[in-house]
Amino acid sequence: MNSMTTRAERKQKIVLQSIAFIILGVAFIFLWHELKNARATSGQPASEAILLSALSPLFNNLYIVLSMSLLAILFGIAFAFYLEEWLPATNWIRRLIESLIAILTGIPSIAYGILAILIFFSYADTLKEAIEAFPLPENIGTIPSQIETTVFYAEVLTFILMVMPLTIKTTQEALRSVATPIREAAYVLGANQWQVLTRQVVPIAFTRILAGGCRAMSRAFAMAALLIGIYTWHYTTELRGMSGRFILFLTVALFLSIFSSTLIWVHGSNSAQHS
Amino acid sequence: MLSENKQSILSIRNLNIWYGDKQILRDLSFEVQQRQVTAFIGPANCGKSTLVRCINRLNDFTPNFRFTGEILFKGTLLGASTDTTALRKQIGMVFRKPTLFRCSIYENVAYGARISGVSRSTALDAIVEKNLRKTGLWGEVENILEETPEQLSTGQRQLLCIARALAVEPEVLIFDEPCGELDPIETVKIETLVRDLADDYTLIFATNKRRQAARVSDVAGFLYSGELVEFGATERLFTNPQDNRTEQYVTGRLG
Repeated sequence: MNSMTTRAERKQKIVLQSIAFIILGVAFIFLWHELKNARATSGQPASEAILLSALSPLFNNLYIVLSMSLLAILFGIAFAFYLEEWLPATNWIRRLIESLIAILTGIPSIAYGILAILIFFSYADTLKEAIEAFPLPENIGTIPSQIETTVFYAEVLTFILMVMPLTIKTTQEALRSVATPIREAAYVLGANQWQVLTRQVVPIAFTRILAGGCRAMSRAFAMAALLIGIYTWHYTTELRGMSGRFILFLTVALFLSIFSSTLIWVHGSNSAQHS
Repeated sequence: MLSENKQSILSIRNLNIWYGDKQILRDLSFEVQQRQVTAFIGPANCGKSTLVRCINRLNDFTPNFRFTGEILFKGTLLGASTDTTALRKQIGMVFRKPTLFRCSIYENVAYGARISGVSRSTALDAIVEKNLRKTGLWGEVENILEETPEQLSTGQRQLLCIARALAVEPEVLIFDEPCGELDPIETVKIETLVRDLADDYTLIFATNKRRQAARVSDVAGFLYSGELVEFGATERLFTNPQDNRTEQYVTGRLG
């Protein structure tokens, strides 16, 4: 009887994963098609390097990357709480979203950079205009007003797709790490769901949620650094020509990554002592 | 031991429970009297825990759980609209494994009062002392109230769990194999405490140790593969069982 239910569950999982895969596949093909149209209407063939070079102005502002990823992380954490604590595990929407997240977290961060440019060019009037807006490395940091909204859309979508799934996944894992007996012990004392969350679950899961957020932000900065690197290297191969922001972003990404691993390590050795 | 003036506080009628397609309990009906110890005995996996978790609606968290039948607490039918937090304040529970919160001994006992809105320190002090005294733990932890409960033995932790449950001032207290992880000396302490508490509380006690049920309970029910085989006064159940299976179980030939 048990093996029957697990087999049915496995079947359901495969179906949901395929649906998630198809949804994402169609979305990416659609965006690729949009990009090809944009290139065709521009009437001017562009090299891949120029295409990539147009990416960097999207992500060269420290404050924009910081605030956008922070916003995406906060939304991700809130969404993870909703999925994990309010929706039952058998809910099919929850399972479909979890399948989508499982696929999205596996994609390397640079691929999201490519996605950003796909969206960017789909919304820009012509490719020529987009490239002319950012002709030289000196102009990094200035965003012409006519494509400001385009830049904004591209960034928001990229961060939603890149940062949110990772945050949701790590937050869900952190919430699951809080053992059922702790929750039940609080429930039988007459605590309501909110009290159990704020008094038991969040204090225990906090370090892991924080570490997950740091990891997601590190990923955002690493992607931004890579895009800036590609842009500057297109114009110069000298070390001196490297953008200061490239170094800054890479340092921030490394620091956040190390900080997150340290948190998990310290937390792990702490909880080992307690139990 | 059964006296006439005691009245029913909990009635269960035709209770059936399923987890998914698997039926755990079949057509259970019984009454729990006030200020008595009602024990449920039976071999492992016979549905004791499922039954007692049904009374304070803890099964609500189990996926694929569904039930039919009626559970009446003090004459009120427990349904989908029941306020479960209010119900759980009236029906406390102690588990097999003593799970304490990661805070001081004092805060553990004060938890129930705090979530109900008591925040005056004098009131909390009184609640903590009263309930630790009730469990006989006061003398041992009086000087380490502000420390974490990690240094306590398993038996002391279980007593602390009981004190924590009593601090909510429930009317009914459910014990789900409270001595499952304890040594014999600690077990005796818990059993004595259960007998003492029966003067003020209604106790429901699930165990798979038949002798233990015989020692602590006034009324006992024998569960076997999801069926309530026999339910009645403990003395009669153990000395003169009506059903063949009960006789085999209490004499140690079954389960």
